[in-house]
Amino acid sequence: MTDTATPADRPAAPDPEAHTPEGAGPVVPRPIVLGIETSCDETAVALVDGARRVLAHKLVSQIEDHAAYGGVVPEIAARAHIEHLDRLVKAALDDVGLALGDVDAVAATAGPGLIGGVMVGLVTAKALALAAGKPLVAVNHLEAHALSPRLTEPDLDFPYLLLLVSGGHCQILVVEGVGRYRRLGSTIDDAVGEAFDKTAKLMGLGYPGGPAVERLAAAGDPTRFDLPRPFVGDRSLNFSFSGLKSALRRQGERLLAEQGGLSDADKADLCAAFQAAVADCLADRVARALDRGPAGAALVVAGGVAANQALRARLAQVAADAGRTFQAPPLWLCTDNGAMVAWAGVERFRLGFTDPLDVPARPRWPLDEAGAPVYGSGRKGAKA
Amino acid sequence: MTRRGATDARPRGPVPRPGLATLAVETTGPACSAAVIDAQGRLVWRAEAMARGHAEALVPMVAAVMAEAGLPFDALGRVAVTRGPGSFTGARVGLAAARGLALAAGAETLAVSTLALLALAAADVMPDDGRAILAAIDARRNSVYWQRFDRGPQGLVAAGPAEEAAPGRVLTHLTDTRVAAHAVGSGAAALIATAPEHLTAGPDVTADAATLARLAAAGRLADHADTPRPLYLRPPDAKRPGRALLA
Repeated sequence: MTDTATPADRPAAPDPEAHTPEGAGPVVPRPIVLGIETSCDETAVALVDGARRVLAHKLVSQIEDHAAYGGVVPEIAARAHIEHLDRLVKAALDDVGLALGDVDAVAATAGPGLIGGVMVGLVTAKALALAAGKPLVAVNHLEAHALSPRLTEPDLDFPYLLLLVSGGHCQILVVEGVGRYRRLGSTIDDAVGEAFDKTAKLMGLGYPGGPAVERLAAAGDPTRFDLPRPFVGDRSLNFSFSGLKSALRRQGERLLAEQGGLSDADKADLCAAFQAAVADCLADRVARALDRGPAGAALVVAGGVAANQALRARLAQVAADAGRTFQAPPLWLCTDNGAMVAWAGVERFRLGFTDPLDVPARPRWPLDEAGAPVYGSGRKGAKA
Repeated sequence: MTRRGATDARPRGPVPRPGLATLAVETTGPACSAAVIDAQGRLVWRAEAMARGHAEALVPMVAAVMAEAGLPFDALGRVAVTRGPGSFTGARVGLAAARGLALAAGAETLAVSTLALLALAAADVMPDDGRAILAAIDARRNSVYWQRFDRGPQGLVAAGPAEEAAPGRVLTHLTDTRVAAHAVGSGAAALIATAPEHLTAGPDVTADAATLARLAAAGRLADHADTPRPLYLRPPDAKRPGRALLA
């Protein structure tokens, strides 16, 4: 496990004196919300206030715990969350000299995600909320990603078009408001981050695979291998990545048969070809969605895959070509973190959305619950 | 169906932190329970049988017993909790709640293994007849989580570490050590069937929050308290991948 330091590019924590409870200062930027995130392999806690300030930010990554398995092992993740969570909550509060009684609400990811970990975070949040007499806000992890750009961009107004891309998800949504989402399309099989991880696993690049593939791709020739672009040109706004992954494997196996092994250059070229194919798919789908979504809406990309610089640049170009504004949260806010959960808590709390103490932890929880399921979404996991 | 109760359970021993109440939660087995004992020894408890759903039921149950006892959370001196073995998820739910409640209330956590709780509960209702107490919990896959406790002048003492084992392994231990014991817990029947010459059925005790709260308030868990971390006794199910195809 690794405790990461405070991200360098997040807003500086203000003077704790300015946050003396009960309105001691002239303006207290309420609400102050404690956010807890435990839905995958990061145990994260943050305090965020109504003025979009990240007062405290704590994160323990489990990358080392899962690396040997080439992916996140749910039981190992759940075991790690319970080890660290209460300590991180205390450290976050101590950092800014606040007590639990000074916060206005306790927010936690209640799903979708690995259920054992979600339960640890949600039950901890319920216990804190009950004993401190504070309201609980059960946050949808996807909503936390969807609203995260508004934490750093005060001018980002609803509606906006969101490409949500992570290890567990790949979808295009119209974000109409807090709690109001309309899904335009989603993956019918693998999530895009999952495809990156599987590509890395195939070549033994280690875990997490996304950054490893991106690193190699930067040195590779994207034109050497011909890979398919599933759904490009299709009228739907859906994605598919499992065929792309299989095509990549076949190219690799062919090389293996011909040469007896893969050189570093071969791997770099395969990664570059893969990333270029993904970029083409995302660009095509998003360009089409910009045509169909609300006129003039900004394009926002969020989720762990939004940390990929090549894909980010490509999507920025798509937005520019369509005459739209492009927003992507800073890198530390793209991967899972407590600040986005706390911020979603701020947004929901302001609108009066709080939850009872028996609110369930949910392994699956689509943002647009009323929407018809996308075909193929019966697969395990909450990828769509 | 929720069972509930309120009784006078004035502790017989010295109270560790006088004037403060003791809350207890138990979710490592096929039930969810919460109990609180106030400084006057009044016990309020709730228990509900459930195979799953602890993460939803537990915290409202804690709210209910605190409300019925008329206690604010800052009246809590300690939060007692079982750490397993049993359900992995259940142990984490109980510990997450206990650690969160303790942090918010400024109380200490008092974590005890579910096996120790069973043994203590049995010793509490059974005179010392020289026999040991063997606590066992059904671990499925034809095995039990078990631990032997011996009775002595200092009370109940663990004779060895808790472990997961097939009933035959427990029989070997009993044969080698020539120990006779009372078996308690959900794994007792399987062990008695395997080792009838060494084991007799002990009292029908269950690990529940009311018992836990009573023992904690009486200061009887002190020798068995441990860090508030789950006691799994079984590694996570995870397979290391083979060599990468294209490595």
